[in-house]
Amino acid sequence: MRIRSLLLLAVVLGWVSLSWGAEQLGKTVTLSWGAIGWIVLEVHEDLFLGVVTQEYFDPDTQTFRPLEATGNPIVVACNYPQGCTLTLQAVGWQVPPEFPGVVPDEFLADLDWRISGTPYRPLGTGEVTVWQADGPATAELLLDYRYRVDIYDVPGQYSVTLLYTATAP
Amino acid sequence: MRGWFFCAVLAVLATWGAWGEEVTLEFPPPGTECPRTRVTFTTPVDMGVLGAESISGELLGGGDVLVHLESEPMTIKLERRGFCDDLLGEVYVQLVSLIGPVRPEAFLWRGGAQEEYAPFPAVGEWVHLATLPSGLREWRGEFRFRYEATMADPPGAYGVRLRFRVEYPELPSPLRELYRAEWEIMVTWSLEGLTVLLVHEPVYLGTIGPGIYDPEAGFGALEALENPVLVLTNLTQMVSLSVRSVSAAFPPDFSGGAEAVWQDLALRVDGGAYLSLGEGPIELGVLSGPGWQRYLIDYRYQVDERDIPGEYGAILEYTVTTP
Repeated sequence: MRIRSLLLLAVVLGWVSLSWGAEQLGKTVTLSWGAIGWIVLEVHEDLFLGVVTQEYFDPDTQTFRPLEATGNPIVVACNYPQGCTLTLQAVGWQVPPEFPGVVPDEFLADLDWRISGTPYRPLGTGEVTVWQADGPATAELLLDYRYRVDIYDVPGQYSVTLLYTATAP
Repeated sequence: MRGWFFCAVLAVLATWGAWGEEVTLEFPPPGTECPRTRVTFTTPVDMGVLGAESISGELLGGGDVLVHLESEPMTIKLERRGFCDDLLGEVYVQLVSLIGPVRPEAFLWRGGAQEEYAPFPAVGEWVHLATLPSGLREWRGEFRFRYEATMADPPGAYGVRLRFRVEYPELPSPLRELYRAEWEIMVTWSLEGLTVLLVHEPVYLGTIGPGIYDPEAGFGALEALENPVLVLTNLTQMVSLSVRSVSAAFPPDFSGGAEAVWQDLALRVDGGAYLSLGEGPIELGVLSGPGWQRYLIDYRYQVDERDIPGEYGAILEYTVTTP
């Protein structure tokens, strides 16, 4: 189930009490409240990974240093008894017209992500699970992104749009 | 004249056995010359018992606590017989004495020319009620009485004696006193020893939704502020107010059960510190004698991720104890 609202109605009964003439009087009162199923998802701002220059190339090893942005916060919380899941999918991309690879597969294959402290995983075009809980939970995640530069990254502007989705079963 | 008055008082006293009966007196006694005044009234007027049911329902609002008893209408009928209906007559009333711990300023009356409730100016002071114009053979006056009690009024029997007078100012002085009519009534009531606890209506704290969680500040709370609880008593003993948890309701999958509800549910009185209902009964305040106290209760439910979708409830019991 995607994020949606459930409206709960509470019945409130009017009640006033009155009594007298006893050594102990007791009157009850009812407090009530409700909860709808909810998911909160907060994702970090847009990122600029940097500009590739010759300084990213190491002549000795003939390799490139990657563009990297680490420690980007994502907060996800939900109160569903069955828990919730956070997924990630690339839904848009932009490369220069002269980019020689197959777009988007060969472009996205160079873009990796990970939760900080875990191994990088390539993004690809499919939806991947970033995090999941089997009960009500809150999580503050730090996401790292890495773009593996190579010789085919011709001059120009590159971008990818990522969609994070939190769902409850 | 004094002889007629004492006869009238005796006649009134004689009616005490027949509680609240109608009495008819004639001044002077039948057979004498005009003017003859015949008066019919009811005595005693019983306003009843001031108990918890006398306390109005606005007490949980912001106003003062006023408790009053009010009498049914009491009618006095005056008939003028013989050839004396062409005389001008004047009717007066006087607060004669107080029975029990009556505060005279709290005993109010209306009737005759006095349309609004007001106290008597002083014990023993005559108040003009009506003028009987010449030619008027019959006059009726409707009277009501009220006692505005406070919690400082001790339990017990209360009453006042009222004296009425009709006189004819146009008569020469000796005759005026002779034909003056005076009689008394009693107004009685009593106060119970009472302790009252009034509790606000059920409270709906709100609905937990995504807005309750701020990724930076964490979970918020549901709150319901300034819910009134009133304790009043006219007893001299100390009266204490406390509240305790009774039962909790929650969705079947809620982890933690009732204990988790009580740990997250707290209240405070009059803006003080919040106290968790999970810690046992909470003492809210003490009345150290006759009087009243209105407490404003704030409720607070601290939300966390365990609060799964569903409906929740808690029943609290407020208790007033007189040690």
